[in-house]
Amino acid sequence: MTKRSRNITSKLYPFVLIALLLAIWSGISYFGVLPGYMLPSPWAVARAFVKDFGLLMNHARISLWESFLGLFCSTALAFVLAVLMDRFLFLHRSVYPLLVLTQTVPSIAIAPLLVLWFGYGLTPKVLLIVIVCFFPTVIGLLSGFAAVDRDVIRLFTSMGASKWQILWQVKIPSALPHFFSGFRIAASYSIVGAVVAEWLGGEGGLGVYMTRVRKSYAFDKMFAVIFLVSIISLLLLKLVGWAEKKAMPYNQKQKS
Amino acid sequence: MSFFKAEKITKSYDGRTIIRDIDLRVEEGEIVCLLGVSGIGKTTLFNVLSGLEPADSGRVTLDGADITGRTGVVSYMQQKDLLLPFQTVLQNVCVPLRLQGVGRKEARERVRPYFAQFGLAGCENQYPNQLSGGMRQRAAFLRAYLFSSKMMLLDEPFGALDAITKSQIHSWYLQVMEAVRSSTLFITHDIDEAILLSDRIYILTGAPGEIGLELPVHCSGRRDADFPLTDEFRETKLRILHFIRQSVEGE
Repeated sequence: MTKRSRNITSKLYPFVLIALLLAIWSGISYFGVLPGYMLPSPWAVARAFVKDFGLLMNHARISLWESFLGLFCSTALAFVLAVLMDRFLFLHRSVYPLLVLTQTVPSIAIAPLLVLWFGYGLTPKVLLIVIVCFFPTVIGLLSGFAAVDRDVIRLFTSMGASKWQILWQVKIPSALPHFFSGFRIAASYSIVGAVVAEWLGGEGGLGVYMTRVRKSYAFDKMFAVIFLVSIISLLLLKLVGWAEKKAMPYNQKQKS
Repeated sequence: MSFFKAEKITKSYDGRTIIRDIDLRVEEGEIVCLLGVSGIGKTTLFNVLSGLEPADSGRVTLDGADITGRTGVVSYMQQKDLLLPFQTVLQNVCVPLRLQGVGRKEARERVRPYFAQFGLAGCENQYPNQLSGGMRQRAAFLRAYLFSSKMMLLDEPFGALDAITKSQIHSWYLQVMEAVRSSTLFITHDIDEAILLSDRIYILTGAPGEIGLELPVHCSGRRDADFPLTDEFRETKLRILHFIRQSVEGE
């Protein structure tokens, strides 16, 4: 078997499983094991998705915009903090444990506070996403900085490079693979973060839509929006993967 | 007066003296080997000579100027190639020029002609992980050369290569040095390598490390892969082995 066809077969397995699960799900609704208002059939969900498509896209645009803003801010912040922490040891020692500590606070619990403080606008949503996405990005960058070969830094020092030049020319590019493994997690958190923040109110967004359809017991629409959120997460991951390849072409050439 | 000179270099860590009163010199265009067993303090000495670490005492001069504790003057190459994996060979080799403030385009143009001379033609746009170990060392050597061709410190540059690649790179090195003739101080623990490549050998012995023996290498014929088969080579090797045996017994 060639490599390509083996690849296709291995990709086939999850699809078969998904088809099987869909069949079971249809069976459950078809034979009325669970009432339709509790578990709508896959077809009902698909119909709801198609019918509300325009509306869903409008809400999705809002959520995506929030995620994008949040990701952008958290990444920028992460870079600044990671660089400072790498440069000043006392900062690393004092901030690192605090960073870990913040991760034990459930983001869902902070969301209502943020709404209380910042209202129903864009700010609390972006803030929540920043809080959620910040950690994996910083940790990725820091471990990337730590993984740089000390001898490379010594060599650059022996060639008269300044700390700033070493940071830009050696440390940051070297840390990219680690950064991306953190950023990938952050990207998938970002859309979920947006939805959670929107649950608590706002003008629009998938979370707002979700709350509305839940209150009207429109479970088919509920399922439709849940699927949409996972699809968007998947697409975001794909996008990050693509950016990763673009940013690190040298990793690709090795494999070929 | 010698071109490159180290006088009375002493260095200790945590109260333990690693090297003591090291005196050595390298004339212009001369290749000098520093031979010694692992852990004798060769790398410590190099760190001092390259300015990466301060010496407890002693002085380093290049062309009459005091360069003690100054980085960015002599070039320094290690056993590990230390090429940046995310840059092409061309970009890697440009690094020293770029650090000196040369523009990207100009650096490339200045560096390109060296690729053929250093046996790297065609590798310009490849990434280090696409090259063999021997080619990576060549690229690392070219980078060091472009940083400073005046005085090069090579710390076991070919130490990590397999025997066949090593003998290939020796021929390559001799060929390149015939053309560019940089003053070089070369660390190795390989006696054959030291005799084959250098004009003069210092042997570092004892704890703390001191210069135990200095001896010139005579080669009346051409210095190439056949040199190790000559009597001159054998005699030099015997002297070195004899000295090492004596110094071990002395301890």
